[in-house]
Amino acid sequence: MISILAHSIPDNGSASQGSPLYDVLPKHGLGVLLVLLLPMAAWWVRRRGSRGARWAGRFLEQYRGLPSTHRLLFWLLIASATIHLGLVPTHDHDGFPALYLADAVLLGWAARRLAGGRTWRRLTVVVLTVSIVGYWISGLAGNPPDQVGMVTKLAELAALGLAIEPMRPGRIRRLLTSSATVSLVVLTGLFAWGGAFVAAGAGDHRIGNVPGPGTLLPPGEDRPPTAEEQQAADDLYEAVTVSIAKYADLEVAAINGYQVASIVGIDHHAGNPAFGKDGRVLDPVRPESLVYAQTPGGPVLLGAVFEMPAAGQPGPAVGGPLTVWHGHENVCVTAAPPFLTGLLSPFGTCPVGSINIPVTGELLHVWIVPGAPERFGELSDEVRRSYLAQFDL
Amino acid sequence: MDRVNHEGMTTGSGPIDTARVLVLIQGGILLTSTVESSLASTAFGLSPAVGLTAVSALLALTAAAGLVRRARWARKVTLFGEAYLLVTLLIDMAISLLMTQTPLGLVPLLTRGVVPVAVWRLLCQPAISAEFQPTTAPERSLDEHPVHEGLMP
Repeated sequence: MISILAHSIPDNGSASQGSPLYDVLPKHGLGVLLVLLLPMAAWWVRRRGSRGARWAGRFLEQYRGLPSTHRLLFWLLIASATIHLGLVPTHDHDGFPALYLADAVLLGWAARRLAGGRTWRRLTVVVLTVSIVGYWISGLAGNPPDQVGMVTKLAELAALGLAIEPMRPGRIRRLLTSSATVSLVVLTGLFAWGGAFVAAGAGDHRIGNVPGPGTLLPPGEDRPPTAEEQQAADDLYEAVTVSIAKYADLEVAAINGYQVASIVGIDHHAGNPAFGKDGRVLDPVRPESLVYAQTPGGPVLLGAVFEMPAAGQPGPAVGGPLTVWHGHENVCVTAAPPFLTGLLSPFGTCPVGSINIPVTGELLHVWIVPGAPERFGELSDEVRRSYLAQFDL
Repeated sequence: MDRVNHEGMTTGSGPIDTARVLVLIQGGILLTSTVESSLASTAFGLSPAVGLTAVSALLALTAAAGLVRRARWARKVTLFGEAYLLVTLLIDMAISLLMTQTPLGLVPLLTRGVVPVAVWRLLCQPAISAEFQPTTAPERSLDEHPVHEGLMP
């Protein structure tokens, strides 16, 4: 069931392991299941009430007396409490069960006080704020955010927004509470990004690494290359380096079909439509794209990119663990003109005017930047900028 | 109709206030997206999407404020935004099903499906629509409006 709910790429032996940000972690599956059972629980309480159970009848009477906003708030609190309850048995190894249980109990208690017509606001605001801020800290401590975590936080943000609605009218009060709601949403999104990147570590393209958001890597374990793989990787690197050297001259690149009319940023991929459709795989003299950086001194060639003809096809890792192909997931692009605008955010949105491309074909970078930590993997912004400093970037 | 026994919720406990909070959250999401796309533009170049997202964020937050004053333009802007979200959700869902044979994740379904439908439903009820109709008197303040109860399940 979780695989149906989660956006995941089929494991076909290719680059299929993505960031947890876009997936449902298995240890969060029980929480989802319990939330899906909530309507049944509500039906059961209603049925008990209609059959004369006093506790159910009293509860239903109190609930039906709530204003509509409070009913929604009640259900948001109950949903969050239920998800936290589902996390208790599946987090016994990381020391968090007690915290999740306390969160579940306090959220449930707040919901009960709300339904019972007793004072609830201060408790609710404190518990929700602690729960949201705790999620920020948890992410930065190395627990990557996932779809269940973000849905829970969105429910809590909505609940908090409703709970801090001004008790008395007033423009200043309303401005303050609105600002607080918006600020918490923005901070939750930024901390989710931070948590996803912290979990990915350095972002190296190695087998089995936790990928950063937007990247797909092969599952499994890293291993040392064999002598044959080392030789094959060296040969490939040599051949590509020699073949693309001439493309440092943009005119030569343009004559050969690369789209280099407007180079922007430090990671500009100039594609070659003809090479992209020629059906050749990993041909050192016909890379599908070239990577340039724009500098005050003009465009600088950084490397080449080989691309598989279609999504889902694994690339030939001729150098074994030295030449790990990667894919991309949840990339945001504008349709006209085609332009990369970023990645699907932790809130599941692309920038306005963009659509989400769920998966791309597999890619292999070859970097010609001297001192690049990985010849075939990821080239960090720090290394790029350090290299480009000589070109007055 | 006010339920003063519910801890001072003497104002703002109706569908419009619920919609306003949801639109505020959408505005926050758009602000986050503006920051993200601005950072992405340093690597990939500046795209019109950055400006569009920033403008949309401001529109959403302004519309949320306008809903309090029962401004008709705020309701229209909000409904247009929700329609845009639903259309892009359908497009992305179709692309995802075609390319990966899997639906979108839980979060996109919530933020671009459930929330827009909820806001649309809250603002399109006849009783609520009537509050946004023009009146001969100046725009009424929130305090003059009754609390609508029982309009949500």
